[in-house]
Amino acid sequence: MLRIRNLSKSFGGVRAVDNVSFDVPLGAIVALIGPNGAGKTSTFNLISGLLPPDSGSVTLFDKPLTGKSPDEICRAGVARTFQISQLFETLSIRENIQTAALFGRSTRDDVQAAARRSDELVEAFDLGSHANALPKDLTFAQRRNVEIARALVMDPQILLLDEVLAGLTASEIEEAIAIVERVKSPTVGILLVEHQMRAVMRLADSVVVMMNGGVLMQGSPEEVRKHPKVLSAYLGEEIDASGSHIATRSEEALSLNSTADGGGRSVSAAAEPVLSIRNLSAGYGPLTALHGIDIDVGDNELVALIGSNGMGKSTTLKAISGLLVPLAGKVHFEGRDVTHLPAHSIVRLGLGQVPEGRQLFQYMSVEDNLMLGAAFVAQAWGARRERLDEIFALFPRLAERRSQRAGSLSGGEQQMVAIGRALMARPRLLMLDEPTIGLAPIVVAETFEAISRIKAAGVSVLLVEQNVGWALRVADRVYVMESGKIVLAEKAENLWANREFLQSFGLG
Amino acid sequence: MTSSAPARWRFLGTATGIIAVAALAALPFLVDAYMLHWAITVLKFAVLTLAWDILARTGQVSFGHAAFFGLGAYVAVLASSTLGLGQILSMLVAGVVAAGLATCLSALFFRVRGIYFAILTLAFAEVLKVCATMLTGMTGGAMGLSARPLFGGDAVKSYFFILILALFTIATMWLLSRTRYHFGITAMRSSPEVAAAFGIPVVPIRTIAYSVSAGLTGVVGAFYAFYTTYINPESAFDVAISVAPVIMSIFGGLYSIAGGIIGAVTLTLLQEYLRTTFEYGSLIVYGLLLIVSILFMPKGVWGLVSGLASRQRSPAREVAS
Ligand SMILES: Nc1ncnc2c1ncn2[C@@H]1O[C@H](COP(=O)(O)OP(=O)(O)OP(=O)(O)O)[C@@H](O)[C@H]1O
Ligand SMILES: [Mg+2]
Repeated sequence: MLRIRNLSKSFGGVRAVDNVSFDVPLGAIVALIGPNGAGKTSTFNLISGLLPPDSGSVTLFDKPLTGKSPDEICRAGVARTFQISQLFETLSIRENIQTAALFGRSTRDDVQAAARRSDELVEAFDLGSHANALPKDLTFAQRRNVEIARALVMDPQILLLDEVLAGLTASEIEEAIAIVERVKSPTVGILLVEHQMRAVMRLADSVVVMMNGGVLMQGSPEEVRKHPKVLSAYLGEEIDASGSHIATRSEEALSLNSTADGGGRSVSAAAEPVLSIRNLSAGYGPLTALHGIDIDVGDNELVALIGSNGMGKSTTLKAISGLLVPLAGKVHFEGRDVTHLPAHSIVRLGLGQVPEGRQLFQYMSVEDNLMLGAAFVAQAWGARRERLDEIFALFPRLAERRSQRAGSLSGGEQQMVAIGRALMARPRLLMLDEPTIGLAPIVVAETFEAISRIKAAGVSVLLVEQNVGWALRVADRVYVMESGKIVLAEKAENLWANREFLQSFGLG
Repeated sequence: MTSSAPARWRFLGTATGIIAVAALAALPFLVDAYMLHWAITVLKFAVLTLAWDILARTGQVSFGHAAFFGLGAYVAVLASSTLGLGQILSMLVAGVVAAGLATCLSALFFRVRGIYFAILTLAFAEVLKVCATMLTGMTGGAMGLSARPLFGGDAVKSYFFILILALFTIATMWLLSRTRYHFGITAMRSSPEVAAAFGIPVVPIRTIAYSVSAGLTGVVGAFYAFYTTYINPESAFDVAISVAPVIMSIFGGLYSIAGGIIGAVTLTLLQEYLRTTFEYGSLIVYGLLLIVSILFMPKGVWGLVSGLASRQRSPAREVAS
């Protein structure tokens, strides 16, 4: 059993972890939840020895782990994943997993045996076709699968999983839940940090709620979801035992949206779309990921692009924003052909983007990251102060952290900076790639409300989102993507009425 | 089909290795004294480059390996003159002292990374140079020290000594590349923190790599002292000694045995060829060649060659799958 007692850690004035105590017994799954910046990842870092605690202790089977180095703790049987994926970039996928197999608990120097073990996991996580690729060539979801495989291959006694389900669609979450259930055994204790309540409700034997560094409460999933403080500070709305939002609220959100644009929903894209994509194809080296897609985003329209992971949604955004050179097709922005313009020129024309996986300037402060969003866009630089205040109003957490180095923010805080940075440029069209990944449920709701407000202020939005429920609630029109093609284009309200239909695309 | 392809490459590698060793063993009996001198110089730089690369593989770039080279040179000369040790023993003692110094330094120097580490090593080599100049009683100060010629001036024996040292270095690195430490070292290069989180003993590995790297460099320094029979602080702690392995590794291909050897052989001979061909400006030509090659072969000669080879091999793999 992993025992955590009175663990504390401060960074300057911030008490990131404050007198935290709980246990992770073997055979159990303990979930650690709480708002962004509550101290969950910091707790992981203290357990795995990446950070030395200011006080308190961690013991594994009554043997102290505190004071040991990270590699000793790992060899003692504690394996972890990283919220912001930290693969060995110079090693191939297979070698990444193999390396972990070679140094974990009770492993010997048998390179061949480790290769076989890692091949099993490569297969189990469906990474076969990428086994020899470098991490940089993988999608976000694939990278995370490698993270999990790399921890599992070490055969740990305690497994620390930090938001491994973030950014998955509903059916992918089901698959992931099945994986965790398979890992669950009487000889393994799992500590799971997760904002996906569906998974927490289903998997956890016990839930620890952290808030402002401390433990607010510990209890069964049932007790936690009904606790008023958890509701008001974390969940933001009631959920049922399966972790789904209770429907009434959803209807409300939908009506919020239709009033926002005066009820006059555009039936299809307006005559003169802001963004028009025709027959766009793109790919990576020999692999073609997009096969001639058409998308329109009308004036003041919020268009959502949904689909399972690896279907080409991020590729679409990259091809539009000039980060990837299209193989064929045309992109017109406000009537102008931008197909082969370099990325920075496209941004200056007013097409902003929140890229997948944040991509902040790690060594710059929060404020400097935000300022950079406006620095090279003439029309935005003049109004940068007001814009900054707006963003701090949207994400008060960032105001508190304005001079902190972006790389040291919590995962959710980093996501807020990424959204804010794109808004700083006062874009005409905003493209968001999974903007709510890693955000606490209540912040997810706030962010979608913010996106609705951004739209109400006259900005067109192209949104890539895994959370189909939310996408349908805020969007005017929805495109469904499968294997690099658009398979469905429909008004959001029609799709909302026939939600079951989406199950055939694995999005139920 | 596919199973025979790697086997073929392995066979090719083994055959090349055996032929190369045979040719190297026969070389001193086939060439004149001038050529032999250059063969010795090439081997000297090959060991320096490979030794430097051992540390570089862990992610730390040293710009001050002259510290160990010079230290080795002085220790060896002093051990043989004042303690009366034999020359081979003196060279080994020099290696052990250099390795010991690196072990002590690692606790201090590895607190920093990247450019900071590079500057520390550079500064440390300069400090040792000043020490060697100041401690006139022991080192003869700027006047330097002279040594008895190595093996009584027998160049063939000297050649075999440095050849054996080079083969020993290559064999060690090759054997290491087949153990899990190869994976650990490569992972550390991406991120030492993450590597540690996966059970890799980062601190011991890094310390050992630094010590082995320094020890080999120290032996080469000692060899240099006896081979040239004279050292002074300027020549033993020359910045050029620190820079040469960096350039040779990058030119030939970082983190690979073949790359290090290619870099050392090509650049040593190129420098000598240019020096004898151009009366003036040979260094300018050398510099330009380096710039062009680094721009167009960022992974070095070996990176280019192995890249082409794997491109040739990959169609076979695709057909099989
Ligand atoms: N190295 C650091 N320096 C300064 N502050 C830090 C550092 N690391 C973390 N923090 C702060 O400590 C707090 C806790 O961070 P932590 O990463 O543990 O949050 P979290 O609970 O994992 O949040 P999320 O759900 O967003 O991932 C955050 O407010 C963060 O900004
Ligand atoms: Mg976190």
